[in-house]
Amino acid sequence: MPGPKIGVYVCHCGSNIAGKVDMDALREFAAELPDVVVSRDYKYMCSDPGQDLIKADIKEKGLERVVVASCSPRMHEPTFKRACQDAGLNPYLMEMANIREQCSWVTEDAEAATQKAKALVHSAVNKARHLEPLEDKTVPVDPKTLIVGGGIAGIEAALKIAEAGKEVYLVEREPSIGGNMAKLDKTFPTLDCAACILTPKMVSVAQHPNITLLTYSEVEKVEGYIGNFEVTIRKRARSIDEKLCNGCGTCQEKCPIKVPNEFEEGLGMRKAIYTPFPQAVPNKPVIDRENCTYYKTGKCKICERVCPPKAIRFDQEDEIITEKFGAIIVATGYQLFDPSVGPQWGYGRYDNVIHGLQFERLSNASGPTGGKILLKDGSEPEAVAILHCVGSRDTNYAEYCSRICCMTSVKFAHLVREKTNAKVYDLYMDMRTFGKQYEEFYNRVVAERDIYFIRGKGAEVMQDPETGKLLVRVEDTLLGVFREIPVDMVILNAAICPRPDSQEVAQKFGIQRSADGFFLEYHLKLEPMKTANDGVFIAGTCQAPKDIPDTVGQGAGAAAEALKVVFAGKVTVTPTTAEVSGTLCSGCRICIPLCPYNAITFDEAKGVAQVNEALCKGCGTCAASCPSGALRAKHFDNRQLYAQIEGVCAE
Amino acid sequence: MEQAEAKTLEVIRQDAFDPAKFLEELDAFPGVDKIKNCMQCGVCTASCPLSHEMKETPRKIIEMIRAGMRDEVLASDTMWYCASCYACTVRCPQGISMAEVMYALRTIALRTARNLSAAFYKTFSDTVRRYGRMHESDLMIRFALRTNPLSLLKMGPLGLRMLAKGKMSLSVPTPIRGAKEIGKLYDKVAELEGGA
Amino acid sequence: MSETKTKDAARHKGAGEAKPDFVFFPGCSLHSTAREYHDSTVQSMAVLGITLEELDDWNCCGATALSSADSLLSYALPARNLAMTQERGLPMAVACNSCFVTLNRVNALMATDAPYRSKVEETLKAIGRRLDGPVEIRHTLHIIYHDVGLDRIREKVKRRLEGLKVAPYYGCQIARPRHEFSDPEFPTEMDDILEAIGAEVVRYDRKTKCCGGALMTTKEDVVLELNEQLLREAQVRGADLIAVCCPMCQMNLDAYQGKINSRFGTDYQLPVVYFTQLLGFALGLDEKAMGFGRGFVPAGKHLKKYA
Repeated sequence: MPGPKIGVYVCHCGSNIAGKVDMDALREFAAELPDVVVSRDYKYMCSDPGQDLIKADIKEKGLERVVVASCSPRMHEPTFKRACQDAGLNPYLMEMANIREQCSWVTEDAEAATQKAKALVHSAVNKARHLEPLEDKTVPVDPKTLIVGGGIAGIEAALKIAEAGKEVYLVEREPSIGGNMAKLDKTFPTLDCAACILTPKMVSVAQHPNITLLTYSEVEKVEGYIGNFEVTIRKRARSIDEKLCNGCGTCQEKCPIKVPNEFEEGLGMRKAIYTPFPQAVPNKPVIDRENCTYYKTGKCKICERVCPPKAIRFDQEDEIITEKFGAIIVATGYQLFDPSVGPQWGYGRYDNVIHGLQFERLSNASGPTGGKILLKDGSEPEAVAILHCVGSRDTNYAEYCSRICCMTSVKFAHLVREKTNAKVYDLYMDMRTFGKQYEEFYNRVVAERDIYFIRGKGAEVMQDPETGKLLVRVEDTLLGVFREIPVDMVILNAAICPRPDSQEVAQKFGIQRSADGFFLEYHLKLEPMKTANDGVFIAGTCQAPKDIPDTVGQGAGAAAEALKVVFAGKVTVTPTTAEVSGTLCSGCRICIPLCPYNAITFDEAKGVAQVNEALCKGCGTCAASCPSGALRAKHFDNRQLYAQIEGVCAE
Repeated sequence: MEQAEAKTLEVIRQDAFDPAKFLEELDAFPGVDKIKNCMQCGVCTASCPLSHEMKETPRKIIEMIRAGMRDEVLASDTMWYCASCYACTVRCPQGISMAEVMYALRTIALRTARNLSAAFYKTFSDTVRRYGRMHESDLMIRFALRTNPLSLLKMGPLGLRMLAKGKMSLSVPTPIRGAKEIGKLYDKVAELEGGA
Repeated sequence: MSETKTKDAARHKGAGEAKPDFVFFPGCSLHSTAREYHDSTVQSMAVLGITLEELDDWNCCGATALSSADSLLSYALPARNLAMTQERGLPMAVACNSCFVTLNRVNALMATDAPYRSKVEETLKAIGRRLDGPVEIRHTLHIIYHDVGLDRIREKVKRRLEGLKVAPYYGCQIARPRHEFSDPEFPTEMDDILEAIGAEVVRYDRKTKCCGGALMTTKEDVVLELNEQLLREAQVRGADLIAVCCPMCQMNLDAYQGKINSRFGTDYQLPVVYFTQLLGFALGLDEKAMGFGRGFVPAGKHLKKYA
C-alpha cells in the first residue's frame, strides 16, 4: 500500500550547501525514493519564493508530508512549520534534514558531503512517512508575577509591572527592601545620594495597590512551569503585629541587647528588636530571635512593656503562603568579596583597613560615624589609600572584572577630599570609566588637589611596627619604581561576587550558573534577562557585576519579559511530549524518578503513570527506560527512529 | 668582574622587532608560562623584597621581554637580585611564575655573564659536581679565589667564628659514594642540552 | 654519625617498629652550619613518636643556586634523591626550607605530563635510576603539626616555656609556592606549636618576609638591610628570641647580627633558634643536646629559668 505523498525540498543556501553538495544529484536521488511525488531544489528555501514553492505543492499536489533538506532546525524549523500550516498542512508533518551544519559545513570533501546528504535525506523521508499530526496546546497563564529580591532591580521590575496594571508579589529576605544600594552614600557619576533616589521608589512599592510586599520572607519551594508556577513562601515571624505597629521606634530605643548590624557592614550596632536603617520599608521592626533575651532565657520583655500600641507578639509564628504565578524574576543581588582570605591586604588584621561597602557606611550621614570619615580611634586620617581590583581580575580569586570598582574608587577619592584634609592615593591597574558621564567624572576628580593616581596594583599593606602607620606597597609602573606609601586608612575596593547560597537558589528556581558563579542568562548578548527555564527571568547583579543604570535597565527588561507572558494570557505547550499507554503500563514506576523535570506522577487509582504535558520537555528518558514500552515519545517514537536509522544505513 | 652595561632605552626600531624568538627561548623552560598574559600591574615589583635595588623592576623586565629586548634584559642586574622568595609568584593575578622567569634568565645569562653572582652559581655547581654535596668552606674559598681573594680577609672574622662554633670545618671534604653518578648526571645533562 | 642518631631514635621508639616513618633528607646545611637543627629535629621528633631514617647517600638538592645555573640540572639533581626515596618506599621528610622548595619543584613536574618530565627521566636512566611520578614530600614543621598534633605535644611537654616571648619566623620558601601549609603569607603552624609548649608567641607581621637567603653571599649590603628589618620588628614586638625553621634564615639573622649592629648602629641581642630546639627543650631534652650553644647570639640566659 502506498504511503503518504511526500515532497522533498533541497536548499542551496547560496553556496553554503550547493558549494559542496551536488544539488542535482541529491534532487534526483530524492525523487527516486518511495512515496516521494515531487522533489525540488532552490537557492534559498527559507525565502518567500522558496516557501511559496512548498505551499503551492501542498495545495496542488495534495502533499501529506514535507521534507526540507537545508540548515539546522534551530535556524528555520519555525519558518517551514509556519509555511506548512499556512498551506493547510499540520506543521508536525514536516521533517528537516540538516545538510549544512552537519554536512556541507564540516568537510572539504564534496563527494563525501553529497553521499552524507543523500543518507540524511533518505533518513528524513523515512521518518516523515511515519509522522503523525500533533496539535499545539495552550494553557492559561496566571497573571501574577513573583519577584525575588527587593533591591533596586527587583523594585524597578515590580514598579514597571504594577504600573502596567498587573499584580506583583515582591519577596525580600531582609526586614526591609532596598538591598545593597540602600547602604551606599553618594552614587556615581551624578553624586546623587543613594537613599534620596531610592527611598521614593521603596515607598511607591509599599504603597502600590498592585504590589504585595513580603519582607523578612523567603521562597521555600518552586514547582510548576511557565504560566503556572506554584510557589511556597515562608513569611518569617517578625514578632510584631504589623497592623498595630506605628513605627515609633520606642522598642528599639529601650532594648538592652546590642549586636553588630549587618546593614552597617560590621561598623555599627543594632538592637535585638530593630529596623535595619531609618528609611526602612516597611518601617516595622523585627525581633532577632537568636539574640533576643526573651527567646534565650524567657526574661526581659522590655519592648512589650514600652510599646504604646501594644504590638509585640512573642508567640507569633511563621506563615506559609502558597501562590500561583505566571512568571518569576530572580533579582537576588550580590555579596562583596571578603578580603580577609588574602592576608597581604591586612583586612581583619589591621584596624582601618576597610572594604568598599564599609566606606559607604562611614561616608553615609546615617551611618555609624554620622557621615564623618574617621579612623577606629575616632581621629581623622591624614592619608588614605584606595586599592582597585581586590579579589577580581586575579586568577588567585576571581578572574572577571567587577566593573564598578574603578568608578567607585574615583568616587571615594572625591568623597574623602570633600570630608577631610587627607591626601588620597588611588592605586589602579586600569581606569575603567566606561559609562555615560563616567569619563567626565573621572576627569573632574583627577584634577582635584591632593589626589594622587598611581598606576600600579596595590600588592600589600604592612604596618610600621614603630609608627603604626599602614604602609601600602605598590609599583608606580608608569615610572617603573617601587613605592611604599604610609597612610592611615586603606580602602579595598573588593569585587562583587555571587552570593554564598547562589547554588541553592539556582537549583530552587531551575536556573544554571555560569563558570564565574553568577546566574546564567539565555544568551549573553541578546537575551540577558531570560534563562533556560522558560518563565524564570533574572535581573541585576545576580547575573553579573554592574552599576545602577544597567541594573535598572535589566529590571525593566525583566519586567517586559514577565509582562510578555502575562499579557499573552496563555502559553503554548509543544506536543512533542511523552505519552503513556494506560493498557501497557504495568505500574512499575521506573520512569518517575528518572524524569529530570519531575513531569511524571503516579495515578494511584488507575495504577498507571501520568505525564504532565506542560512540564514534559520531550527528552525521551522515560520512553527509553520503560520495560513495557508503555511510554512513547511523540514525534520521536521507536517506529520513527528505527525508520531514520534504516534510512541512514541504506546509503 | 664588571657588569655589562645596560643600553639606554631609546626608540624601538620596528625592523629589529622580533620578540617571538626570545619568548620561545623562555617557553622552553618548564616553569615559564603566560608571559604574554601579563597585565603590567606591578604586584611582582611591589611584593619583591629587593625590587627597590633593581634598575629595571621585575614588571619592567617582563615588558622588555615582550618587546624582544633580549640583550638589555640579559645585561640587566635585576635577575641577580632575586632571592627566590616566590612572593611575586604567589600574588601574580595572571599566575605567572616570576621566580621561574628569573631562574630562566639567569641560566641564559650565566653562559656569558661575568659578575659576582654568576661566579657564585658556577662555583656552587662545580662544588656539587665534585663532592655530590655542598661544602661551605670549600665553596667560599673557591669562590673567593675565583672572584676576589682579598674578600677572604673580609670574611675572616665571621669565618673564624663559624669554625669556632663548629658550623664550618676546614677538613678536606669527602665525596658521597655516588659522586660518580653525579658526574654522570652532569654529563648527561650537558649531552641532552646539546649546544644550548 | 647520622647512623648513630637514627639508631638512638629507633631505641627511643621501642621495639617492634620495623620501618621508620619517613626518609629524612637533611640537606647540606643540616650536616654543617645547621647541625643543631638536625639534632634537635631528629631527637624531638623521636620523643613525639616519629622515626626518621636519613636517606642513604643523598646528594645536594642544588637549592636555588643550581636553578640559576642550569635548568635540566636543577631538576635532575634533586630527582636522584626522589628516586632513591621512591625506591625506599617511604615518604620524605625535609627540614630545610630551601631543600623543601627545590625538591617540591621537581615533584610538581613529575606530577604532570609535560615533555620536560621525560627529559628528567632520561637523565636518571643514565645513572640507572628511575622516578615514576611524584613522591610524598613533607616539611618537618608540618609533620609535627599535622601528624603528631598539638594535643600530643602538650601531653609530652615536661618544661612549659611560660613567659618566653618568641617571634615565629617561617621564612619565605616554606609556604611559597603554595603547598600544604595553611597560608602562603600567614601560616600559623609554628605559632600553634610554640603556644602548645607554653611560649608566648608575639605578633610578627614579617613572618614570611624573605631574609635574602643565599643572596647574602652575593648581595650582602642589601640583604643586611632586609635582616635588620626582621630583627627590628622582633625587637619592637618585645620578642625574647626568634624561632626559625630554615638554616639560611638562622645564619643570616644570627651569624650576621653583629655585622648588622655595626653597619646600622643598632644593638640587637636577639638569639635566633630553631623551633625544634625549643620544642626539644620543652619536651625534656637537655640544653646542650639541643645545641643552644652553637648560636652566635647566646640564648642561654632566656632558658635558665626553665632548667
